[in-house]
Amino acid sequence: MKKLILINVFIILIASNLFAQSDYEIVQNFKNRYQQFEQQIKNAVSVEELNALTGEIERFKNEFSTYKELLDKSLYPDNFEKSFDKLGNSLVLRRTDFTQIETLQTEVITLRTEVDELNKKNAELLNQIQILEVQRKKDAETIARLEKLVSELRASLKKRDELVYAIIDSLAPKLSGDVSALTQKEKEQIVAETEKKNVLYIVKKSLRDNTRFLEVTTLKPEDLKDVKEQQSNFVSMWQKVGPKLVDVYAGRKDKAQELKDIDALFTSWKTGIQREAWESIREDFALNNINLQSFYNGNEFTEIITSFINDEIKSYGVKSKEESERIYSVFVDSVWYKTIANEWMPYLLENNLLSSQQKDLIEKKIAEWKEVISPKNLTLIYVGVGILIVLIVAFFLLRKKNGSKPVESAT
Amino acid sequence: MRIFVVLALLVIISAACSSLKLSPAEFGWPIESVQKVDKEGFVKEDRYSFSFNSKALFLEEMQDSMAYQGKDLRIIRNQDGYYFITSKSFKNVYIFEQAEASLELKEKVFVSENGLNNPFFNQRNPYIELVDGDFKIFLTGEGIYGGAK
Repeated sequence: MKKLILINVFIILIASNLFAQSDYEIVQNFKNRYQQFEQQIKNAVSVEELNALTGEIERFKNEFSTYKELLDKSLYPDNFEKSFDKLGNSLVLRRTDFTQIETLQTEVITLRTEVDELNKKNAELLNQIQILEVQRKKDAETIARLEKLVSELRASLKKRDELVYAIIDSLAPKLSGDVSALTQKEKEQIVAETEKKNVLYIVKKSLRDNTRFLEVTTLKPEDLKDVKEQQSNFVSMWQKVGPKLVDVYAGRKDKAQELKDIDALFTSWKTGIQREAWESIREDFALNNINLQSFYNGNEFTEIITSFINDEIKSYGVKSKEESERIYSVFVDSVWYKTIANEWMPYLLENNLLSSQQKDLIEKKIAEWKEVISPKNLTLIYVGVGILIVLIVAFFLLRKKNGSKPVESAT
Repeated sequence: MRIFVVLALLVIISAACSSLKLSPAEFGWPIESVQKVDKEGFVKEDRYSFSFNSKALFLEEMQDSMAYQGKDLRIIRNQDGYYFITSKSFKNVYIFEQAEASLELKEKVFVSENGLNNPFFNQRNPYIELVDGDFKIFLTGEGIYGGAK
């Protein structure tokens, strides 16, 4: 037994002299290199990089296989083989990411081609609509054609925007976490991808087209509701990536400016939707030859409408009665009650573009105008009352006459 | 006579209970643990759910109760369950055994006149290897085995 212990000590002494190394340092060294490989797998930007890593990991495993027994005991709760199985699984998963990224990139290329085609088509439609809108006199055929074109353009813009959403969405996974925690390399990858997909350009183009669509068309409240919803969806989608791209592009003045432009275009689109409601209302009056000054908010609208009515009231009797009545009839019957009160008023009130007090003020003014144009005819009332008095007097006279006759006959 | 029989039975039963032994048991850690002493003087080893206050150890080694500040302790346990503790600039290795909510000093092993420079322990069953540059010794629960190399 003593001999066995001595042999044991002898072997240990020889082994210790050969490897006078700290086991703790060996394990720490293994753990550090292992973590580096984990990070490298995570940061890999191509399949080629992953292939190179596979070789390096194999060499790392061979290098440390001498210490397998030590590592088996020290890597609790894992062991040597389990640790390399984990690295292998990470490699497989990362490879799958690249396959998915390649598929997505192919899809994005297809999407971009479709977006380009739709952009061309939309430009043509916008031009055709503008030409028709410029024609002040619109016959039924022109109006029908115009409506068809507007509807076609709206559908086309919507389809194009959905494709743009898909392209923006393809960036979202990379920007889902805390951007400030991204390394410079990761930021550069996102920049490269954004550039490749030309995201900033297509977003700007889309926003400009949507604003231009509002400029060249006259829309109804239900169309505007759709446009508003579309704008809101676009904003939500952009919010996912836009603010984070600002961080990614920090330090690149040209791109930072482009992102600011996009914010400005969003604001312009939102303002455009509000303006469109007022311009469409004005257009409804103009179609009936009532040309009002421009108004872009509830106060201006109330002021211009009441001012117009005040002028009409003042000029009653100055111009011909027929003309005053015609203007009243067109304004009140053909435009106000038929279009504004029925179609626009719910939209204006719902979107806080006009207050109910302002609405009441205008309606009171219209009632006042009506009173001037067609006052309640008192002459008829006077005549009626006169006839009634005559009839009552006649009735009493006749009664009196009839009542005195028998007395006369009696005498 | 009856009393004698009862007493004999009790002695046999109690002897049987006290002689229960689970063996072999292995307490050795595969590698040493290097732990920073916290500002209260505590050392905490997460893997083995093990902690102790080291102030008294530093007072013993350096005669300074605040000497633990910013220090690391190197700790390893051998197969018999003894804890071996030392640190940079220590002249001794301290061998402790586990007691009730404490570590009791079993041996204080003098290893370096000038203090250790960069010591580390390795588990070399049935011994604990202490290395500091060219200096190397094997330790057991009783002290140095085989002398300095």
